[in-house]
Amino acid sequence: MKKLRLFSISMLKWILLSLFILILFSGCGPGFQHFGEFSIQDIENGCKKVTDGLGRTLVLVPKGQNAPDGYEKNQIIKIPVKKAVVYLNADVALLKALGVVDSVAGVTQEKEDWTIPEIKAGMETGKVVYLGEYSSIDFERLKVLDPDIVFAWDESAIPMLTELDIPCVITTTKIAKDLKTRMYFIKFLASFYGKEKEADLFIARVSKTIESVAKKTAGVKIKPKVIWGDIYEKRVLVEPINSGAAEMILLAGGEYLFDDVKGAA
Amino acid sequence: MVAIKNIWKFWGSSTLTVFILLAVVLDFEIGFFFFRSHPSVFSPLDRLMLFEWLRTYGLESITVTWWFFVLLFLLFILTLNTVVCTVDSVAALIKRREKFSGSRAFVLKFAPHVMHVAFVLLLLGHFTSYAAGFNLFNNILKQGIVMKVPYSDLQLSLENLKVKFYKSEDAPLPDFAGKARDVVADILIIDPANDNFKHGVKKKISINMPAFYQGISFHLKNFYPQNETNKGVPYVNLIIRKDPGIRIMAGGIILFTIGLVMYLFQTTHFNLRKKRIKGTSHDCSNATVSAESAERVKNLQEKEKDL
Repeated sequence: MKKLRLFSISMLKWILLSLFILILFSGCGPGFQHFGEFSIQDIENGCKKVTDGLGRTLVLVPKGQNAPDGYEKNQIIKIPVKKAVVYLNADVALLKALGVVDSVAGVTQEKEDWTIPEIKAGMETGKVVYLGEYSSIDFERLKVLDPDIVFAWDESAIPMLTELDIPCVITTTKIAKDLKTRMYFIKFLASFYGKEKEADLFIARVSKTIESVAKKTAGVKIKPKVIWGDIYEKRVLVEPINSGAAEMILLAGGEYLFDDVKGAA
Repeated sequence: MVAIKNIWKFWGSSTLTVFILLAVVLDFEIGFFFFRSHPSVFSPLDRLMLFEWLRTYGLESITVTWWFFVLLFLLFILTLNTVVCTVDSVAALIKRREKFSGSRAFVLKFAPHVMHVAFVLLLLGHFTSYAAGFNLFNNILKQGIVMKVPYSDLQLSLENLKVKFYKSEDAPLPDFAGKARDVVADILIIDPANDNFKHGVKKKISINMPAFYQGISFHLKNFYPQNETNKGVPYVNLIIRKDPGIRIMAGGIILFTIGLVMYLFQTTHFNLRKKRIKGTSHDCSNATVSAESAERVKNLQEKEKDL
């Protein structure tokens, strides 16, 4: 029995020592952050290696600098971005929060569908161009725009944009973004513009709001039953319990009825 | 010299094996909960190699990934323990060669050690794949574009894409009508270093039917169009993998099977022999035979004790 105890103590010491070393060095790796499927990593010469929603690796290179070796031409994106085509209106809203909504040059919703004044005004003056619905983008018009980047959600845009030599970043993920990923996703967008400080301020503001709402509704006795989804002709698509929408309902004192559904948005 | 002997004895101890295995089981149980509750931390393991994941997601989320680092450490010391224990046991077996009744009995005794070596090969194979290979997702290829295959001199192009769609009469459900039912892509792999294949090697890929070339595999992850009404540019989304440890793992599997068969044969052979001997010893009409048989059973049992 004594022999057994000796082995277990010495092994336990090894494990604890290794854990301690790990925790000590946990902050020492190359600057790496991830928000859901998205990630940003600092690499050489002020460049950043990012992973988009599809898991593609892209490299953000400050203008005037050479790209690091080992990456293909279509992986390199020159920053800060000055002109962008944005598929999702939610991403345009985040760019507004970062103070760079003026960089939006092309969108995929018509003027009537917009509530952001800068975009409406831009579409009236021709500064912002409607490129068609996502399933029938006018790539000729997009080519004329000559954007620095396209923020898309549709994987099928990638081959066309690669042929046009225009970098594409997928801003959606297969699994629904949870609340934290939705909040911190602005940091991912901010890395393309050098607006990391604005992103941090936005996150702090949103976190404060969420906390205050959660506090107010913490003691509610009657929880409204809520579902969040889209109704189509032949089917109904609902947000899963792992989505930001479901989390917000729970924090706001509601009861989300599809708590047994997990997966894509 | 004594110190080295003691260290060797410690690392070859079967008591250590028991503790390591218990620790592995406990670690897996803890890891299961972290794995399920943090998919965004662990799902990149599908596409990143081991050290890259450890350096990035692993260290950044150490409060949820610590169990994985512990697991790697435990597997390392389990491998060390297995190697030392196997070397000791095999050396002891060879020393007692003369005590065996025949060469078959001697060879069969190596069965558990063959399985231990196979286990080490399986671990080594996995480690080699995840340390020295690559697993590249989202290589989107459309016709007319030649793509360079990363980490190699190969080039890749999509020659043809044939998608079959469900007709309304053969669709299993009404919603399936017009949707893709089958896809075959013809890809061309150009290898400038190989004179025989300078103009390219044509390969077909489909769902669950990858193409292989010089240790690199090309898997079809996605394709477009998926619907007859899709108007966009046809393309394929490929996963490109290099799995250098696969042969080591295959070797481990084969060796493990051999060891298992040897062990099965050894166990059944000895049991049958014991039964036969005991069976003749119960024949009361022949006292001489029963005494001999009893002696043989006794010798057999003593030999088994020694070994």
